[in-house]
Amino acid sequence: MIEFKGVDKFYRNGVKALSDITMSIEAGEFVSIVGQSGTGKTTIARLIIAEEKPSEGEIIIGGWNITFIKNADVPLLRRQIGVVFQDFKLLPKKTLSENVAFALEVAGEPKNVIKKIVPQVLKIVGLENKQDRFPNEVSGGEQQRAVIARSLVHRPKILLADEPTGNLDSINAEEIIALLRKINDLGTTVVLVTHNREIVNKLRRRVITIQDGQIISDQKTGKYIL
Amino acid sequence: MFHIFRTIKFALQNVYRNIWLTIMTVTILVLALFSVSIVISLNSVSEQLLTSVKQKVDISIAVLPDSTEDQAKSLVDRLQNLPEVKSATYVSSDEALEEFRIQHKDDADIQETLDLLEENPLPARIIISSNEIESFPSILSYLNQDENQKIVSTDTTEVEQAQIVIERLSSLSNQIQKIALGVTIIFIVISFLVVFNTIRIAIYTHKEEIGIMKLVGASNWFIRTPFLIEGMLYAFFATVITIAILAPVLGFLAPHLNDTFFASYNIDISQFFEAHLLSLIIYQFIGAAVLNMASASFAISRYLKV
Repeated sequence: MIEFKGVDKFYRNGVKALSDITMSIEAGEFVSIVGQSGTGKTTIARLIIAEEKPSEGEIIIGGWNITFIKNADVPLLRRQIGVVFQDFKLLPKKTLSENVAFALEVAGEPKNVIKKIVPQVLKIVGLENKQDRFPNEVSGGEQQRAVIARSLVHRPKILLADEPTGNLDSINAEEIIALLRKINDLGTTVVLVTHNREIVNKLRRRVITIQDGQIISDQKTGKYIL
Repeated sequence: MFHIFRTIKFALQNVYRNIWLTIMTVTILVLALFSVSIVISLNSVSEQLLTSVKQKVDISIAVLPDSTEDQAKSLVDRLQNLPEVKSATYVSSDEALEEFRIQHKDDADIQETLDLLEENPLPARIIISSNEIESFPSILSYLNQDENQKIVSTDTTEVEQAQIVIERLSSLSNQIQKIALGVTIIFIVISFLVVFNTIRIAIYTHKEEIGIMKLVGASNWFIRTPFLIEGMLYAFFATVITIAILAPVLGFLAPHLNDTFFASYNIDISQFFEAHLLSLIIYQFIGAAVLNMASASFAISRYLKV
């Protein structure tokens, strides 16, 4: 589902963010990419959604070589990958259901499709009773669940979560991880980028550890080793 | 799929959310369109006036006292056959006097002097009008031929004076044209910069929203189009407001201008504007829309990285 072949990433100032990253994530896997801050985890996430392009090597997503992806094709890629970030990225002047609907509106989906899908995804994340609330009227965990709901509207094959629990307390964080597991159980490949030791250790799923821009370990049922 | 109605909705949201910026931008555009409309209209009117003056020029040639009415009338017939001559009319000495009396009916001194004179002091005349002032030299040279010189006295002063008036009007018209061009260029530059800045601010205001749109897979055109439509909306509002101001202003000014400046010419300024109102609206909208789209496109290419 996701393949990195000898990927290097240099930034304009000459800083090397990633060095010779080679990994393969199969469909339906739940993989945690772990490492300390500034180690290159988020760069991997940005490369997966084509927000960055690799300096060397190849990236293949669902059989699609996105190494030299055209700008016009990036939206098509992003509709196949649900993205969840630490800072929620919800529009404050829209309700939770409007925020979820927004992802479908901008993709040009017709109204009847939007009306059908939005309640479905809100139910999956358990927000069906809070859909008319604004982001500032719900907890951080609920905001993150709304973001996950939004990321599911295009029925993505991959869900990429970059530090989704970074702004949450431990109870809310566990709820979010439980939700990600549920989504994974429904068949979606989940890539969790995190530096939360507790969560990774509890998950007992595949763990890829990054240090100084390189993969230092890839364990099938791993632990946070740093 | 691309949904134009949804992008129009987003464009209207942009306009509404930055309402003060919208008001400022539209006001500048209205001022620009208003000024450009006025100078361009002035230019059209001055050209019309010039054409009208050129058409109105005619010369009056005195028939020599020794010539008979038949000789003069035969000259009129020959003149009418010339291609340069639009019309040639014989005015007898009595008719000339009658006309003179009517023209000066309120001037008691002139009437009294005419009464005192035993003979009619006014000679018979031939009034010649031409399609264009440039034809008069050839008409005059025809009148200077030997056989015609015996019938009429040719005096070129009248033609020369008319030529001077037309030259002055031409130069005035040229100057108005230059001013119109200058004003138009200045306002094009101002409007371009104002719309550019407004779209730039709109892009910054929507930075968060644009980021989310990109994240959830909005197509690049879906992100760009609302800003282009925003530019079009400014053009639309500005045109509507400009016409709403221009129409009553001209309605008020036209009768005064007609009475003061154009009374003796074949120009009705209010009719002129009524006839050109639709084209004025269309040209204003197209002009403003093209300018705004160009400006918005420039701002988008510069500041909206999608």
